[in-house]
Amino acid sequence: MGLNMDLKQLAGAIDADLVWGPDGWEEVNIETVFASDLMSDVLMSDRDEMLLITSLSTEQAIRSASIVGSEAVVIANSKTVTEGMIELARDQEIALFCTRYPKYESCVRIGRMLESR
Amino acid sequence: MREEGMEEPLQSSLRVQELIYGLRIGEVMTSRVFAVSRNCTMHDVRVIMKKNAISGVPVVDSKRVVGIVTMNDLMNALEQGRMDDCVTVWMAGEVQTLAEDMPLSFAISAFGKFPFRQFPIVNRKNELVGIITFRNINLALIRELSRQLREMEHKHEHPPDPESLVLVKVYQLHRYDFENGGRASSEIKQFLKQRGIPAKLIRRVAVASYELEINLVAHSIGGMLGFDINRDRIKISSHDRGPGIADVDKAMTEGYSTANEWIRSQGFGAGMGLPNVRRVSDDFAIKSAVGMGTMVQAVIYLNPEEQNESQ
Amino acid sequence: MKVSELEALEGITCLQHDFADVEILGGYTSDLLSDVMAHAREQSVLITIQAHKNTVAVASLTGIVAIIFCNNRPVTDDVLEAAGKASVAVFRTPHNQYLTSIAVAQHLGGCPAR
Repeated sequence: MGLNMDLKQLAGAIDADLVWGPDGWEEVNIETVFASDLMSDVLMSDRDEMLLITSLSTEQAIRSASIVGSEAVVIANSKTVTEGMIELARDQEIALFCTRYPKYESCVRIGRMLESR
Repeated sequence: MREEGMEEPLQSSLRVQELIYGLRIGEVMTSRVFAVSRNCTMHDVRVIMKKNAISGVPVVDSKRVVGIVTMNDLMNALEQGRMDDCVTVWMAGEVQTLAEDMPLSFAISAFGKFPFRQFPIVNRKNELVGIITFRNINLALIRELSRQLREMEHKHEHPPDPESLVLVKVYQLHRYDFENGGRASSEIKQFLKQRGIPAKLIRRVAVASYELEINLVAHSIGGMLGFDINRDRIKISSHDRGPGIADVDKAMTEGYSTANEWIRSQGFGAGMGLPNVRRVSDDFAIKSAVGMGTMVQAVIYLNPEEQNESQ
Repeated sequence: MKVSELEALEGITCLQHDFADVEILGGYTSDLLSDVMAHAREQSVLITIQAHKNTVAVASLTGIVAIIFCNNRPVTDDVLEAAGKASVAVFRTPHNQYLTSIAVAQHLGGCPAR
């Protein structure tokens, strides 16, 4: 079931802009996608090489992602990303993206990209 | 003016709590407690109070606490010339007792909340086993201070290996402080990562720690998150000063939450926090009392041989 | 795809059958009610884990016709009751929001380009 896609491909699928990324973020492999806005829900996940898509544009979203070892976070719906979030992403070495698509469309686009492979 | 004095114990108890963190009421109370039975008189109470220099005498029936007579009651009885009265006439029937296995922080909350100078302590069968006063807490405080001073001196003479996997640290968390909520967990995660702890173990510790940390910030009036780490296990303890959980079993059910809409808009209040903590821990314990606070303890073992079968 | 056809999807079970069986025009995935209020479209299906009575209220206000609760989220009776009164269908699935979104979209015939 694993995605086996790199971040660059995924970001491309949802037209996501990079806000901050560690060196070599393009090649980071992603196996699972998680779409949630509730922190405890995020904390339930125990998968590695995970990408979190969320509409919750807060520092806690970055923290929760970091706690479960997420590789990257995509903020959906063109929500504003704060300075605090960027700093935290940098500190925790998590790639941070922004997309204009809502979560539903983002998931669907990724799904389509998987199908067409 | 009396009001100001009443609020102080709650504020200063923040520092106090840090020091006596981890103690139970049973370890700090006076076990040699003087009580009277229902058919004793106020005379008897006077004798006991004078002889032992105390200001509160519980009334017991087959070891169970049924009332308490205070210095105040005694003075009133004296004034009205009713010292021959049975204690049952003067005693307060609604007694605020504390349980011996409650964390000491609950007692501190109680002193801040009620105007009483002592609390009878009961065991699980509700039998009187001791009494606690501010003096008990002060003595415990001094003991703890001395112990920590000795520890500091020892550490100074024998500095610990910076690579060592030993850490005892307490973090203060304040209500609705979402900005800092999560920072403690990230620090601990980093500490473990630097010492080469396996990623899966770190994740369990991080999840338990973070959920407890967020609970403190989002659902309590504030409290402490403590870590006790050594080569065998990671112990995480959370103590808050309130509001306390009315139904702990319900709180441990997935999906149950008392969060309001604002909390939910912050991404919390999904009702999965405590169940999540239990799920990732090898040992889990929770104690709570409405008005006193909540204490949660989670232990994660580092060595597989010490883990439960349920792993 | 009509609301009643959602149950044919793998893993999805209906918890509340009192609803108007209309055509679903789109999907919205969110656990934040303010977000749902601001962006969800009429006659869409909401994919979420926020199993709270307020979710039903928001759904009703925005014209959402069905809610799918993910991760086998426990749904209490008061939520189902409120949904019945508002004629909003309620479903449950063991899958997460990501997988459910994709599954729904596959049967809806895609989402409009933005």
